[in-house]
Amino acid sequence: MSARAHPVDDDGEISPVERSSPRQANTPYVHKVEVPPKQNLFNEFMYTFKETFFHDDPLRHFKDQSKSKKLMLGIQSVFPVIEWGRKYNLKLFRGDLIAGLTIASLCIPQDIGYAKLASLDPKYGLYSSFVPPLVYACMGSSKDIAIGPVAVVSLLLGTLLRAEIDPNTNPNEYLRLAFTSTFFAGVTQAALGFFRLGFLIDFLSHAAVVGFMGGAAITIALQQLKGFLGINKFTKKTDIIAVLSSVISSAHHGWNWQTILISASFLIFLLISKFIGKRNKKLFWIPAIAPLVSVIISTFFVYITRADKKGVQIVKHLDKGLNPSSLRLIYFSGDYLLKGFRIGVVSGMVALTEAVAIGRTFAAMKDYQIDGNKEMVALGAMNVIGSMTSCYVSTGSFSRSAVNFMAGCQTAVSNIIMSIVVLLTLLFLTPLFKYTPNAILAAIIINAVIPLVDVNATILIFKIDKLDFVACMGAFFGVIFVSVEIGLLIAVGISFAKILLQVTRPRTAILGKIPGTSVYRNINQYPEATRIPGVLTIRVDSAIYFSNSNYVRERIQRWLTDEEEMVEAARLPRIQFLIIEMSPVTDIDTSGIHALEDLYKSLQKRDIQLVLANPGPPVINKLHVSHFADLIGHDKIFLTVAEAVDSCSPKLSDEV
Amino acid sequence: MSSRAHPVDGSPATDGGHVPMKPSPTRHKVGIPPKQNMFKDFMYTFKETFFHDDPLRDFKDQPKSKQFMLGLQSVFPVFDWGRNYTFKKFRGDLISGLTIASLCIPQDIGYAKLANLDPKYGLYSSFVPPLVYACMGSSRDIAIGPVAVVSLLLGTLLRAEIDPNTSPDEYLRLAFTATFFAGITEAALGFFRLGFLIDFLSHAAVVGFMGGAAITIALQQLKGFLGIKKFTKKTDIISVLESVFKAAHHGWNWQTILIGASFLTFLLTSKIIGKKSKKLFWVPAIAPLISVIVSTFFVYITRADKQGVQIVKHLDQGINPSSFHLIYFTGDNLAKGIRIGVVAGMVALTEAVAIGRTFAAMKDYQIDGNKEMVALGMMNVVGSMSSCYVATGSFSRSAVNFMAGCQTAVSNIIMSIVVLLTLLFLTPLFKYTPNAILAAIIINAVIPLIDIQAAILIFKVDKLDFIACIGAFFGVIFVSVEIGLLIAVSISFAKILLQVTRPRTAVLGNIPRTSVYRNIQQYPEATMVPGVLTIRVDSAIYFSNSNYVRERIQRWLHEEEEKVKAASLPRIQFLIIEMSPVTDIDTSGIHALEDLYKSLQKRDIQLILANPGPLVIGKLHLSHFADMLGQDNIYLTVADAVEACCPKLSNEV
Repeated sequence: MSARAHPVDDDGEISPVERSSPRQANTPYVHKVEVPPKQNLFNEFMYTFKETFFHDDPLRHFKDQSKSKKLMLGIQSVFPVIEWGRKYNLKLFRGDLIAGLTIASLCIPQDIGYAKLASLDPKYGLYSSFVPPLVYACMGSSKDIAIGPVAVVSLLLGTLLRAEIDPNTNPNEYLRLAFTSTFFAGVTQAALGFFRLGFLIDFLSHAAVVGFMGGAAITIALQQLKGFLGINKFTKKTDIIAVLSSVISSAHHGWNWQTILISASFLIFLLISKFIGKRNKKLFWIPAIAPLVSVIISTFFVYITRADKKGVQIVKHLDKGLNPSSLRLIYFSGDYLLKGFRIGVVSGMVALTEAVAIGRTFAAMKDYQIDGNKEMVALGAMNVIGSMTSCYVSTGSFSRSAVNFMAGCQTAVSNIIMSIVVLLTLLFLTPLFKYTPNAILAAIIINAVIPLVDVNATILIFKIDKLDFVACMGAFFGVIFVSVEIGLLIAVGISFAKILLQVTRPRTAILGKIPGTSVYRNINQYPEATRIPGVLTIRVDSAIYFSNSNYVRERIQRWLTDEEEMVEAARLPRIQFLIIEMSPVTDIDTSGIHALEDLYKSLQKRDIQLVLANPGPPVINKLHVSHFADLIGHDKIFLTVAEAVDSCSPKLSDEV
Repeated sequence: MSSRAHPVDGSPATDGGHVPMKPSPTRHKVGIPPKQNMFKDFMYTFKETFFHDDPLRDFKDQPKSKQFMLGLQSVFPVFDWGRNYTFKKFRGDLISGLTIASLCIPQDIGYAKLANLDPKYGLYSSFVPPLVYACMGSSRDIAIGPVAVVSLLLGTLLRAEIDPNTSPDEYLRLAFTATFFAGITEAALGFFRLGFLIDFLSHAAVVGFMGGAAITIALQQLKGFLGIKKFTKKTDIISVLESVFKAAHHGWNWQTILIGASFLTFLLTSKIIGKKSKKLFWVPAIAPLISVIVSTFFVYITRADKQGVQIVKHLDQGINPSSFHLIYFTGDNLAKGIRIGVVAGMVALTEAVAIGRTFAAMKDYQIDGNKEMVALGMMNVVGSMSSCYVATGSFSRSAVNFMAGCQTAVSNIIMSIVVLLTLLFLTPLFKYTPNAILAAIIINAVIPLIDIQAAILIFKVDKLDFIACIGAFFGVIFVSVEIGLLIAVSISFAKILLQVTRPRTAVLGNIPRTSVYRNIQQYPEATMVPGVLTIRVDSAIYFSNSNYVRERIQRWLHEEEEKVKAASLPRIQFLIIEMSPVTDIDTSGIHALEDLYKSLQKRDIQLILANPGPLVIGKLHLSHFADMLGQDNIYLTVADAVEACCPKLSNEV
């Protein structure tokens, strides 16, 4: 392999067609397109394995350490609390105390509402904000995430569970299936982390998540119309058609005006408080405590006026006391085991995606790193333990995490504070919620999910990437018009289809020389770039795989046919060289190599020389192993397009 | 946006001495391509996906009558090449047609049994479909008829639904229904220009799948080869071998084995002869027919059928009856027929298009894949209405067709005529043909499908391709044909996703005496610039890899900082990302870059982008990341970027 690189002197580039003879003064330096050192199969496999599963180099800290130090580092890796706990001080505690109390005031009303979303008794929502946060505080890495039930996972879990068991006719089986699902959600999450398969959740794209969350938010809000309007008979389905027809068919006699009065007025109150909190950063705590204040006032109001006797539905009895053990209630055999497993995997993955995204977001703000796989183990463990203590699936809550962050939390102790508050509530305060109207819970939930409809992000996605927008809308309408899990599948399907489409129909571009440089670029992007007579340079913007190899070959031939027509019409020199710029071709497979071979043979018959420029390490390696490099000639593979053109030009000069 | 392009003098950019005064640089902007509205973007993508071969090119600047003629010729290519037909061409087509007919007649009888259909349906399927294809198809070399793999696949899928022994009529009807919908599938794919979908079956997956199918077919033939009566219905190797050994004591018929083994030896010998001398290509082509004639005569003379040798028995005389009324258009069997038809149609299509392309490349003409699909679809639709089952291109017969000197699709017409004459007059002669000879012919025909050379080459070139190949192979052998197919497709897709999910990144260095920056692992002489870290990302940046790319870059940076500190070199102040392989970016990718930028800001390291492509720079502007980063931190080349960093470093010294 050889290429001639001419030094460009200060007088600027001499036009190739004007060069009368090669300059004798400088002996050209020959650059080879190097084949990287041959690595044996085992080394290659280990490299790929390491990059896929250990790309964050988790064992870095263990180097050059004593045995006892290594043991300590290992324990700290599993239980980060042992590390940050040693540096804990009163100043940190003050921030955590304030933050913990704040998110507790937010989570208690949300927990009661979200549990109803999952068709579970409200107490299970409170249980799920007591145990999991304690486990996470010991094992998790994020300093800012607030753990507990969240709207979307509650909706998803409720939908999937109700598809299997009717919670009204079989409440015990329903509850057991919920715990079973939570158990397997935890096992799934922990297994993904332990086996370092965390990259699987990267397959849910940001755009798909935005669409899915928006659709889920609207679905949840529509579900709340039952409580908001005081409707007794309501559809079990989640799609918008069924919900709206249920609402409209109840319009004449089913709506309760007292309920509407309560829910509408408090929703307005909540929205105003949120607006106030947004206008003034100092007053962030107002929207944080507004839900609890609403619950207190509305409960008192209902109690005073006895509105529950006039059709206003209330929470009724809330059991006092700590979480009972639910280990014996988990199904470990029979049909419900499989159902629980399936529901657990789906809800576990969604919960994981949400929590890891939240952890990463706030870690980026405070500039520390989150080990995704370690996070998964922590989240999995907390759900496994939760399933044994009457909890349902918990994960990170974005709204409460944001409040946690703004309240000045320092460590995961804020989760511990929150747990203690929930504990005290469970022990002493639950009777007070008896007269809480369902309407206020509906208002709180609607208020909580409105931010999930991220219109600004959607608009930005539309501007930047139309295919991402299609994925976003596919998820959104899938959730709204079909069901939550179908929407999720549509989101993932479109995201994968986008990758496959990009790879299947890669862009190709004709390159021209930018005047005054030795740089060749897309003539569409750089209108001043000029073509070299007799030479056609094409860049292929993708790896060449089985799914696009035929297209790439045919597209190149089409470019060539078009160029030949133009050249003939303009009486320019005949095209003698086809240069393919290979820098974006990051990989090639056997189908791709066959396509290049076919292209080479086809060009030979037309007396056009195929030249390759700048193949990368995997490509040049495979071209050699497959002997295509020998077929085309080693002297036809160049380091840069400029060198390739320089090599072709003297031949053209000879013809002039 | 601006960048400085310095003429490169004789000294390398890493010269540590005094920086000489340079002439006034020409400023080049990283261009944003002209803004196209959404409709044009959509039309471009639509056109490139479905019409990338520009089928309407020939219609430009033509009068109406000419356009009409071109349209007609597009649907029926026979009107195009038919006008140029000569007697000289006919001679070549006649010879090749007769040759492939002698090959297809015994194969047809055998393949029909592979699909659990009466042998006559194999002959029917070599009569009608080739005639339809000759009118509508573009390939001059492909030989149309039943083929081993599709017959096996069809038989397997049909038997999973209906037992051909207990319900032969329903089985037959389902076969015609499946053929009908195979044709519909193929024609629809072509008509709606969805031909690119079959590109999703990679070459490696096909090699593995075909090899596995060949072994499965050969094992199936042990029934006929050894004369076993009770044989498993399953296709996996465990069941087959179990069935064979269970029958070993009393089930094997030595007369059958004698016939099968001797004629298989004869066929293999003739194939070796044909391979040694190109002139004698016709020897392996006519060997199957000779084998049938000789073995039939032998059995007839010796009455071996009374001694346990199984024979074909009665073959109906006469032309294809209509089967239109037998196709299911309602009920459960309709859905089954559609499902089986789609799978069989896709596999048949893949094989035919691959064959068409192979021989078109040899003779240097182009095949329009989508048009081919319409032709193949139509021939199967018409075939399903005239008692045929799924036909497609046969590689072995196409190769013989090619070597025999065929000129046009008339060779298919000649073959059809020969089959027609056979159906009308010669079918009674096959009564005493032993099943063993059909087994031998089929084994002989499928051996070339086990392409060991290709598998070895795949292993050397691409290990992931090899995994797809082997996954398909063992899937077909140990599980079932359709599962093997699914495994092949899944591994192929997983390979793409893996490549995209874990892209390579590389640290770049300057190659001495040039302004070129390349992978320091590939070019050991490339040197790194103090204070600057240059990384190239070898993939588009999508949601599935954006987190990985960001973390990997940060890890590179961390490692370099450790090296720099250990060697007491200048602190890294600039991180340059070479973007030429980043052919696209989505919103997740842009978020990752934003996070990277913020993280670097906190460490007082400037992020610089070099050579973003048109799509990427367009999106960076729309998302305002280009503004956040600063337009002056986006350069045309890595060399420009490094040049821009040097003066700042010089100022600090």
